[in-house]
Amino acid sequence: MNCLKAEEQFSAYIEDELDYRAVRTFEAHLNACESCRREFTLFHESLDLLHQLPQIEPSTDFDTALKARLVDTQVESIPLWGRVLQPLHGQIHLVLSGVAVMLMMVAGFYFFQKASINPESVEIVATPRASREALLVEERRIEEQRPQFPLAVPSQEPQSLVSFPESSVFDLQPVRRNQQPQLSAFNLQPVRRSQQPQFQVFDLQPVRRSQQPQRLEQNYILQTINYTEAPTGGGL
Amino acid sequence: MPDLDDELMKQCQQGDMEAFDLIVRRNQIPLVNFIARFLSDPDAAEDLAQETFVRMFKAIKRYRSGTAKFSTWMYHIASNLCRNELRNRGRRGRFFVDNVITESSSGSESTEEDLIATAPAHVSLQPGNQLEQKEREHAVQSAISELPDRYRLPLVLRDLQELSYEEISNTLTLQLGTTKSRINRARLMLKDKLRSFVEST
Repeated sequence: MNCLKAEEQFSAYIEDELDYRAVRTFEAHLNACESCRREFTLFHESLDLLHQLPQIEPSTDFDTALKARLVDTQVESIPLWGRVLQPLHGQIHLVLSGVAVMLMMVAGFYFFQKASINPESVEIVATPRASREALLVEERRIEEQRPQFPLAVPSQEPQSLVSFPESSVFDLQPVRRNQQPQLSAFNLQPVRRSQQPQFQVFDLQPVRRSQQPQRLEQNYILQTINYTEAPTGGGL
Repeated sequence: MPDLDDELMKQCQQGDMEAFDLIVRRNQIPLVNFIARFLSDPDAAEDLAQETFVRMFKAIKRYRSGTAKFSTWMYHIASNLCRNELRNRGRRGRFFVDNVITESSSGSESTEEDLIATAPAHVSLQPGNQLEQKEREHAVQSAISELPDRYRLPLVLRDLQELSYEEISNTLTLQLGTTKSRINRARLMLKDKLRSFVEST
């Protein structure tokens, strides 16, 4: 037996768990090894010190504190509704009356709100892509770009003017070819004098494709429809 | 020999709560001592011992008589609570005897007079013995607190709570051989830590 093996058997030897042969071997090693004998003595003494530790007494209010915690535990084990209703035990008629009144109040409020709203009076048709302000801006821009009567104001096209006498039956306004390559240089539209005497004989309007306004109908419309004054006279 | 605590638990399961009071009275001292020695903190020991009883109370319905000894079940709950406590603290635990020993070993006459005045009648005539006892307790408790948890726990259960190896194995869910070797190893470590104290005395 070596010293390491002897150390492993210190507890077993003290607690009498070794068989006769193991005890003889262990004691033979201790008699022969002074170091192990000294260590075993120290082992035994430290164990005695451990066993001599005094007992710690719980405080006097240990039971009281524990009972309070146990009561809390019992309360926690009761369901929440049970804890709420527990103080009202024996007064169940009051609880039921209160619940009935609450239900009536909630129902009354619900029906009042439903009656006060008449969804058929006004309907707002809103579109997601355009607001009223955006639509107004677009209309204003189109209005500014639209030529006014009489047309052919020279100052608007000073570098490309072809002058014509004012008495000419044709009121002509040149149009740059590169702007309208597929069209004729002049956009001529005959107008009868008898029908529209206040206008020129021919209403010539410069047309620029790049500035041609988009049709208003392409935009989404935000409008308020009053069904009570519907111009269709019914049908909706 | 029938286990009285086991019988009391059966009565608790049948609704006899006075039986639980008896269980508390029978086990509060060993439980407080086990936790106090393992944590080296008697203040926390009372709180955790109460928590152990609360856990046991909550688990009365789940207690299975005969599957394990009552003490095994109780120490298993307490051990888990202690290990959680140490994990929460993030340290091994403070040593509660430190303050007492520091004041006592300062050597002033007033300390010794105070000890005589506050000590019980049967030891008041021997203040030196009480000081030695405090010093010895401090040395041993300090040595215990320096052991790693996995050695300290079986050592306290074996040498202070006097559980059998089999009970400790069941409490800590360890193999019997592992339990024996750990306890022997813990005693060897304790011997090394107490060497200077033993040789000086």
